[in-house]
Amino acid sequence: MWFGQRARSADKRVLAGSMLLKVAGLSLIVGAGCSGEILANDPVVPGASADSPRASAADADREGGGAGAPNAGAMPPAPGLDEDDAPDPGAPVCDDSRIEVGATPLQRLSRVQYTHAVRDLLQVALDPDQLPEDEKHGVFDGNTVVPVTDLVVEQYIDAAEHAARLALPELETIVPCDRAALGELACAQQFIASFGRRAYRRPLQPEESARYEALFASFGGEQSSEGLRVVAQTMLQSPNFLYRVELEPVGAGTAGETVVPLDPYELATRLSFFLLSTTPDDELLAAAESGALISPDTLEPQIERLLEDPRLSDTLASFHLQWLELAGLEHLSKDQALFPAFSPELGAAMREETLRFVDHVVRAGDATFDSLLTAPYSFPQGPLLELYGLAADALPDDGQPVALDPQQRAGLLTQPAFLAAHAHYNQTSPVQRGKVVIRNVLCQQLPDPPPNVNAIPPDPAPDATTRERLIAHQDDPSCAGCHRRIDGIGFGFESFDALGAFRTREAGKPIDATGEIYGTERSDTTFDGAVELARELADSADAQRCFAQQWLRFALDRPDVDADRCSVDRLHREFAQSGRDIRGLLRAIALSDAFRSRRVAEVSTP
Amino acid sequence: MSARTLSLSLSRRAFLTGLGAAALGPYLPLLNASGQEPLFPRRLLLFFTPHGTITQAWKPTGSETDFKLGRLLAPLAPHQSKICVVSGVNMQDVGVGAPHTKGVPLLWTGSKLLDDGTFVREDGSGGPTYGWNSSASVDQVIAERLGSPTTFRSLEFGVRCAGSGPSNRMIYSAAKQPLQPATDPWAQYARLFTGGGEQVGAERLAALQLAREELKSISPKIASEDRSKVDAHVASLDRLEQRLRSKAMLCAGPSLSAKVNAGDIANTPAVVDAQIELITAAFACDLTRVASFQYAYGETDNHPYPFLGINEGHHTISHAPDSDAAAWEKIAKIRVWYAEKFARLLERLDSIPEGNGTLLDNCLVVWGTEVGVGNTHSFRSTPFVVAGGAGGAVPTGRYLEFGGNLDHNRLLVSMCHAMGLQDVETFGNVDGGTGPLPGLVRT
Repeated sequence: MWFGQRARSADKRVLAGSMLLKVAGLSLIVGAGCSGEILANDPVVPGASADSPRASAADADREGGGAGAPNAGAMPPAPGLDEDDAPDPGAPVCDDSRIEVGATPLQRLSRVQYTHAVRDLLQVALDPDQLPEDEKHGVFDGNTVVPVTDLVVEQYIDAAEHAARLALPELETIVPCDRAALGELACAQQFIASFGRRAYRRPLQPEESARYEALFASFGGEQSSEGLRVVAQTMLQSPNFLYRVELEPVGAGTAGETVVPLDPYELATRLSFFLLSTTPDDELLAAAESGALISPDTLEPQIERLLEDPRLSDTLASFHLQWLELAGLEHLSKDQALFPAFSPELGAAMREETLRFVDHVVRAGDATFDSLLTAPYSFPQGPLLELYGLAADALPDDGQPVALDPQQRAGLLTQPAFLAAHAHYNQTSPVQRGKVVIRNVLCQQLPDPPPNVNAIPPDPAPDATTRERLIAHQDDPSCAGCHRRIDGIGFGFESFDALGAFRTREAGKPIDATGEIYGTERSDTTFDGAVELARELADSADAQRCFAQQWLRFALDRPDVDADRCSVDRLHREFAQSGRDIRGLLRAIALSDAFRSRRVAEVSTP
Repeated sequence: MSARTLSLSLSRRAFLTGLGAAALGPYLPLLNASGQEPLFPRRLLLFFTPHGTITQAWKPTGSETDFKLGRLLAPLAPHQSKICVVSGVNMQDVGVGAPHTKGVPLLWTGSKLLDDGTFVREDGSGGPTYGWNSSASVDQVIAERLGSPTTFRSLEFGVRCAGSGPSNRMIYSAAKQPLQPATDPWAQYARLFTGGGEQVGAERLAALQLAREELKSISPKIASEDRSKVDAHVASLDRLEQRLRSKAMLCAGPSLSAKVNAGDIANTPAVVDAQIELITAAFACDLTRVASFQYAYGETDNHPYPFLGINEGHHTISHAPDSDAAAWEKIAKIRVWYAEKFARLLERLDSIPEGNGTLLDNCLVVWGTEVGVGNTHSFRSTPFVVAGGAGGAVPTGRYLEFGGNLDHNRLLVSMCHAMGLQDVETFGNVDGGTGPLPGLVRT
């Protein structure tokens, strides 16, 4: 067992595949004609006692959403983690016997999910840039609000036709079938059933199979493989492939419920897209079919299996590139005169280094948040080795990392990917670096500057450090409030230039990389340099909670709302108690109520 | 009836009947898609560039009909007789969202962002949450009302406007329904000018029919909030089917320059030029009568302009104080480049003869931006240029100064009038006044 907390609560949970489901001691009715403790239709704000007037979720939204409120619109900060922290008197208290979960809208696959799914379905590679652009929720890609347009539908048609054409030579081997013995028709039926099950992420209904059999008959007349191609490209245009369809419960018996467990195939879909960024494989679909995903005892081995799957790398890459806003590395541009070491290949090498590092920490290393933020090793290759001052053969061939000077480097935030992506063309940007840490790593809000302030950094000067040139904006009281927070963290990275190379002097003067974390709920402190800053962040309850929250957002593929706050609190608690085990966090999310159930919007008619 | 040939780089067009591809010959019949309408329909094109202007360098000097263009519009001088410079019109700075965010959808919708919490402002300013826009944009309303029998109801073109949020989307078919621009002209070329042939058409028809059946069976089983997404998907499939089945007239496309990577910033000028060719051809061939062109976007257009020797991000330098002459020189350089591209567009449209005039004479081209002035976020005196005569509806060669007393919603009303919808009295939901801008459109 990975979390003591979870182990204790798990035996209270008896998840049955049938009509009655008990989750954390609470009965949920999923079929008709049952009775029991049914969640009130009107969600109760946790903490309101049974006889006190109920505050609706909408009230909570309004309270949380007032202008100027901290974290307005998002979840309020968690109550204190440690027992000696006094709970915030205004914050709702979370009750583990009750499931609160935000609504999940109909989601369309993201570019990354689509590309990976097609790779696994047809063994072909598509260019994600040729697919429709994704919406964003927070820093993450996810299509939850905007409907498709004509152009988007046509981009999907082109992608599907292109993929099926690329796959044509291998199509008959994707679902092996003895054509000589069984005949083309039987083999086509087999293809439709097996490939369809993977593409739809559930077995096809008889009428669905019949439509595809008719399609095969129309287009596969002379050449069976042509028929299969049309079947495959049509399946990729199906809403059952393009959307992650989670149906509302059907029938009168569900009236009054607010939360229901997911159908096992829906859960398999969520699990696979979360942990592997792709469509479920046959084994996961078989587990859904057998009911193995319903009980935590049999769900866990599947989660364990997915965590061992090499495609976990895709999810780790996707999460970290978005979390730290590293997409810009693809078009990195630096002043060649000031940074002769810069080349367009350098950005790609930075990205590669960070992805290998993340992958190593989580998949091969101790998988701790501490290692992610403080490990004194990395995987620089190619042009990056020079930037680190390392020999060309410094990186061993055995997949092990290079040890770095622990006085200089500590984890993800001291890597060139982060440092160069959040720097200017010709100089560092303590403001950009500080801002990303405050918003993305600590989940703290930061107002924009007023419109009339000069956002252009002062030009590099031969006789003044970046810090000296920037500090002036703290003299203005209207700037100081935020810039004490932003620069306080951003100055900590001043030992690295705009490419991420370590430096001890700038403009002939020694670097001052002292700083402070300021204005947070429970992480305020001072530090000297990025190594100490990284240590402070790794130990920060705000950063740990934020990390759990960002992962939950990523896992659910939607923004979090007030109703998800207790899930974040629970994940944070478990994450902290587990020694900040990232694999444990992913496992805990996959096992969480928020992940395994969904809020009922309305009861559909049968 | 006479016949005409398309000149210059536009190849002659051919009729493609149904799903087949039977070319009828080198000449065009003097008919447009329906074969029953006025010969040269009016077309509407919205043109966007980001981050406002430098008012004093943008404003013309002189009188309504005898005026000299300012420095930033100087590249339009060869076309001065075919433009109206519209100055002193305000946008309404109301509702949620940061200025560059709400300004982009506000420009053509005259409407606010929804305050539905779709987006949380991580920066906490300007209202803690915001959503997509609350209403349709003027081009979509016009396209819907005109109901033209063209192959495409509208076409959206863009350059460097990647990303998807309200600051990246200016065109809306309805609340919460932004239309994404096509940003790669070489990819778009096939969609506009290359029919797939009979086999491809049959496969597409079969696939869309199957998808539609499935969408319809999913629809009643999902939350009503999500049903609009399914409905929109069905509507797109319906339009696509119509296009596949119609005896559409497809053009042989223009010859584009060699394909380049549209994502590489150094290629930006070539990508803009290729989009201009597609727009011109799409109008000349009557593939659509409503289009838009979006260059970059609002909130974070922090692209450098290396092809102009500018390596700082545009947004950053647009916030320079007025005293920073070096920064303003760079901004001016960017804005002059915008005007050069606008001039190129006008030149291309003007090069296609239509009747006694040109394609440009039958176009209503409107150039706008999402804020008035970059370094104050002022929505007052947002700059507009109107070009083309809209088939005689707009007398051109004029400089109209409204003195900061009227809202741009009335320009949107004028645009409806110019496109033949004279019954429109107000446009948008920000309460921007009633009636058209006085004097812009012939009454």
